[in-house]
Amino acid sequence: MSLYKETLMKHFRNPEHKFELENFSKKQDGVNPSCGDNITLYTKINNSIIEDISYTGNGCAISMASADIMCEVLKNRDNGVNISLDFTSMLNGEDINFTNELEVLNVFKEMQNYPARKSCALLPWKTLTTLLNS
Amino acid sequence: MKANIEIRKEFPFINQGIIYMDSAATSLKPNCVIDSQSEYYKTMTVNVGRGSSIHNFNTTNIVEKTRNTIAQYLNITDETQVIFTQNSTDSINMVANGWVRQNITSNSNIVITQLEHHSNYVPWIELCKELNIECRIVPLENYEINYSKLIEYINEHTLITAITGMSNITGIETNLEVVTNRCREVGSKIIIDAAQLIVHKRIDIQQLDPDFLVFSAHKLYGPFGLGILYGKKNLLEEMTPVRYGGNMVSYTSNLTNIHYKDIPFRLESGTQNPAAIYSFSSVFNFIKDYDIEETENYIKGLSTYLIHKLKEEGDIIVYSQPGSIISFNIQGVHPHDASQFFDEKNIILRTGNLCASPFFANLEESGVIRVSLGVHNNIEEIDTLLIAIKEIKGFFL
Repeated sequence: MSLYKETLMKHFRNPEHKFELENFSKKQDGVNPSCGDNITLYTKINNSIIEDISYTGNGCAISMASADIMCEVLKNRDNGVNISLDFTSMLNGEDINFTNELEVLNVFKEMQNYPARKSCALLPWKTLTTLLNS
Repeated sequence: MKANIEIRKEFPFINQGIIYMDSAATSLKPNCVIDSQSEYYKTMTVNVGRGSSIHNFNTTNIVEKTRNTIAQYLNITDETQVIFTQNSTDSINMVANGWVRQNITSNSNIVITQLEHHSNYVPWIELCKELNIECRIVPLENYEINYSKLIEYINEHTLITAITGMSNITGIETNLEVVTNRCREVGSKIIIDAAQLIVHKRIDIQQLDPDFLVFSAHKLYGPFGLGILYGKKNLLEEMTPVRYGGNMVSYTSNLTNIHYKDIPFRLESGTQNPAAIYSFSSVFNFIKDYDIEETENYIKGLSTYLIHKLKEEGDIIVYSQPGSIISFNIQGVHPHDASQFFDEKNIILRTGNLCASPFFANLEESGVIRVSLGVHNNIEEIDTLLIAIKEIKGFFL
C-alpha cells in the first residue's frame, strides 16, 4: 500500500509529540466532520515563534502521523501559516518540493493520488491555521 | 427469487467490477429506474401542476398516479396523506417545524434515542434548544435501544417520540409495537424514520399506525432528491407549511389574502421533481419480482456467514446481528485506514460515524466499518471482503 510509507507509519506507531504540553499558551481543537477524527493542538508561542508544539487526539494513521510530523517540523519556526499553505497546495496537486528540515513533508505527496484521504492529512494543518489566526 | 447472476444484470453500476456493499447509504438503481428518468426528459419533459395542455395533464397525472401507487404499497387508504418532499431529513424538518412547533407547550418534552441518524436527531435537538423544551434522549444498552428507559422517558408530557425503524449503524430493527403502544398509552405522537426499514420490511401503515412516517426514495431503489412524508390526515391538515411559494396556492382574494390548496398540495410548495417521481413509480413494478421476506432471508444468510467469519478472525468487534447491515471494527485499526484496502479491491462500503455520532458517545471508537448488503450481493463478494480484512490485519497489527 503506497500510501502508508514507512516514515508515516513510524510517526503513527511511535509518536513523539502526542501529549498535552505543559504550560501551553494557546490550544485549538479541530475535527474532521466526515469521519469524526479529532485533534487538540497545544503551542507555546513567543513573538510569533512556535517555541513548542504538541497534540492529542484520535484518528486514522494519516491524520495522526500528519500531526506528529507537523509538530516535528514546526518547532522553533515562525512561518507556520505559509508552510500550511504550501502543504495544502502540494496535496492539491501543485508541484511543491519541501527541502531541508521540511523535506519529511514530501512523504505526503502520494496523497495527491488519494483525494478521499486529503482531509485526514490536512486536519492538523487546518487546526494550526485556525490557532495561528485566532 | 431470481438467480443472483440474473439479479446482478438489473444493476448496471456493479457491471464494472465493483463490489457494492453500501446499500444502506443508497440502494443500487435498477435499469428501469435509470431508464424511466431518462424517458421522462426525452418524451414528457413538461412541468407539472400548471398549464392546460394535454402534455401538462399527462405529467401531472403521472405524479398523482405515483402518489396512489405509494399509498397502495404502504396500505394507506387516502393517497392525500402521501406528501412528496426532498428526502427523509426534509420530511422530519417539516413535521418538527410545521406541526410540533405549533403544538408545543412549556412543559412538553420530546423523546428521541441515541441510535438516531443525525436526520432524526439534530432537528429535534435544535427545536428543543430554541424553544427551551426538554429533549429526552433514550440511552443504549449493548448497542440497542434500552426499552425500559424508553418507556420511562415517554410520559404524559411527551408531545412526540421520534424514532428510527432500523438503525443505520447496527441494522437492528426497532420494536415499533412497544414504542407505539407506549405512545398511545400516554398520548404522545410518534414519527418513524423508516429510511433504512423501507427496503427491508413491507410497511403496513394501517397495522403499524404511526402518526408520521418518513423515508427517501433513493433507499428503495429509487432516485435521489425525492422523499416521502406520511401523516395522519388531521395532523397533516393542522400542519403549517415550512416553505411558501408556488404550486400551493388555491387563489388570492386580494393582494395579501392567500387561500391555500388542501393537502397534499398545501405542503408541496414549488416545482416538484416529476422525473424522479416517474422514475420512482417504476420501482414498484421492479420489487414485485422480489419478495421482501425471501430477499431478507437471502441477505441474512450472507451476513450470518460474514459475522461467523469475522468472529473466527478475532480482534474484531461486531456491533450487529445477522441482517442487512453489519458494522464492525478491527481492533487497533482506524476505519478510514481500513477503507483504503477496501478501495484497492473496488469494494464500496462505509466507514466513519455514519452521520450517527450519538451512538459513539459512550464508546472508545469514533467510527465503524459498515457493510450493508443488498439483493445483488453474493458469497464470493463476502469472501473478497474477508481477504481484504486479512490484509488489513496483516499490515496494521
